[in-house]
Amino acid sequence: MRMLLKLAWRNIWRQPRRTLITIAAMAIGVAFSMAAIALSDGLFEQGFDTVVTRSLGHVQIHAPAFPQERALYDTIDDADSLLAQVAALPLTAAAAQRLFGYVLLAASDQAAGALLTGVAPGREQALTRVAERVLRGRFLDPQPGSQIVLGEGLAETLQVDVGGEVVAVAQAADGALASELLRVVGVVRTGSVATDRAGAFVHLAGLRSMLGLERQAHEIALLARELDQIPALAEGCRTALAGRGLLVRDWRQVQPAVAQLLNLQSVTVWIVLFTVFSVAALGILNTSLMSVFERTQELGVLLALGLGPRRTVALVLLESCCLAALAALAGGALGLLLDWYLVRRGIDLGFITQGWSWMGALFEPVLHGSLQAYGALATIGGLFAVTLLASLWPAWRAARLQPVVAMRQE
Amino acid sequence: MKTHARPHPALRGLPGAGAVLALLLSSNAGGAKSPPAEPTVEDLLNRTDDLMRGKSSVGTVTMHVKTARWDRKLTLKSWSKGTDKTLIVIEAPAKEKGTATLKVDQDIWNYLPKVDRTIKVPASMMSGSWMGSHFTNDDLVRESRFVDDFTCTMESRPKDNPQQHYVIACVPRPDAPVVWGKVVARVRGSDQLPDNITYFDEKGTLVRTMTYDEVKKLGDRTIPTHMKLVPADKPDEFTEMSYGDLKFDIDLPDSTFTLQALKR
Repeated sequence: MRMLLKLAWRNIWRQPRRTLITIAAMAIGVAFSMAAIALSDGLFEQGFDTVVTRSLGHVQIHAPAFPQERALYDTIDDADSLLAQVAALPLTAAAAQRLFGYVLLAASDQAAGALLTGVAPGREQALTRVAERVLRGRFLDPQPGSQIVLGEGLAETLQVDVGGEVVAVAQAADGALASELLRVVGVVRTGSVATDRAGAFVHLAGLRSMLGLERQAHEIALLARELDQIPALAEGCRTALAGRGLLVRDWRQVQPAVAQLLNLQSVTVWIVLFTVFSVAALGILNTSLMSVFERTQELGVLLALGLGPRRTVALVLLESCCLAALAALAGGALGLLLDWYLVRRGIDLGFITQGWSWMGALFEPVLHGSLQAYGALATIGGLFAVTLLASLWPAWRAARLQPVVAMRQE
Repeated sequence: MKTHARPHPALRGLPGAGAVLALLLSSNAGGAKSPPAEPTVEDLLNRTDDLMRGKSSVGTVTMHVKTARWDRKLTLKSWSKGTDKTLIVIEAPAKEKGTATLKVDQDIWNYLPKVDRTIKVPASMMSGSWMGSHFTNDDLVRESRFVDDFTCTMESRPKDNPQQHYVIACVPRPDAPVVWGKVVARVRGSDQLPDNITYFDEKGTLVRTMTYDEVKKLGDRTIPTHMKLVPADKPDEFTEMSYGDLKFDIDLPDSTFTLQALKR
């Protein structure tokens, strides 16, 4: 075996230029595959964090009809005690309740329909990034008050800005015409087109008393401590709220489209990897086949000297593996360098965009990679697998040579 | 014939009610004092117009709204002048006292005493409920446009039996911005007062029915004093209105119907 390895190592350096070119091609493939995986993982994490964790929440609780109808009356009754109950579950990292209300917002000259979201400012920040999305002014103060934070587009429609006043008018739960005078404390850009155009945030307590829904909420959202505990958290909520007739769903059920798109993203990476490795495989096949054909006479001599077919196969495979090992070293090093850059610096698309929104959430303009061991392992493992596969045919050809015929070949 | 809506003054103050009766009324005043034997649609409109019309009115109405979600009893005071000016103020319950609606031409403002602000109802909210009733803001505005928007024909008249009705069918004129596909009014053969009005959508499905009864002498006129609107898809719900006191042809200054007066 040692002898074979030594032989293989010598053989590959008989054509140094070809060997180096092949190694370079494979190494570049490895490096870019690693970078692609890191970037894709980074995007996935960023997407998951932005769209799921910091917007939807991991688990949502509603009245059964609410997701479809979004009607004022599809409420979670006695929401405060229910919130306390699910917030106390061991898997819960954060929990918040929201109340929604369609209202007419009127400023001095303009009026527009708007969807108010009543939030408890302290709790809401633990879940969503809305408070970080303030363009001007500030988010709602922790103490309940007659404050409102307007979506960017809504503020424009109403021609009102921080410091201004708006009147919210709505039909309360008892049919009466309810009204509330609110001071604009901030303007936000959340990345959700609907919210930015016609949404606003107010204190939960204020919206409750305005709508006459003092003990209700429309939504309770929760975060799990660990991502792999999300299904367990959903199950825990179902158990805790059994008999309440409420709908408990994890984010996949809330937004199947997001779940599908996030899945699709990992599929895309595998397609890229497959393509890269297919090209690498053809390169190895070519190199290996060429080297076998060139050495027909020599291999005939080796066979005649008693190198059996199995060891001949092993020799050819070892030669390819030497190439792969060198490529893995070089490519791995380059790949780590690229990954490090992607993680630390990222790709700044600031020259194209200020940030973009997808699925109702705002993304930073800098794409960051995420370095995970499996990225390098999968790439290098894949490289060796592809190398061995591609060398099988040339190795088999070498082993099948008839020594007498082979030695005669010019 | 050029026609203008001229709602029953007692109803002008109320959304929908005016629109409902507008089809029975026209500007061709001076019709016969007694019901003609074989009235045409025009005669019928003129006759009702003549009987029920007032230049202005002041009245008190109790409104009872019952829906799956709430049961509201409101006392309203209304002022109206001509077809275009209406002011309605909630007097009870105490929680909503002072809430007021002003309609001038095609515009509606709500005065909200809690925040001391007057809000103009925007076009997007016109189809919304008025004060939690089954009437929409649009009903309130449409009252002065009914005859402009619809063409009415007599479908049948009472034969020998005065218990039978005149049936007047109204379809919207082309391009009229209305939600109804057809409106059918039944007028009592005996005294030519409205009995009920049915509203159909563009597919011909019944949407709501307004019935009139409790014909009484109010002020110096005999009119139906109770009206009930029932949505066809929710037969358990209704909005009911009963007239308390009602005075016609009061001298009301135009300043009654201004935003300043709304705030009082």
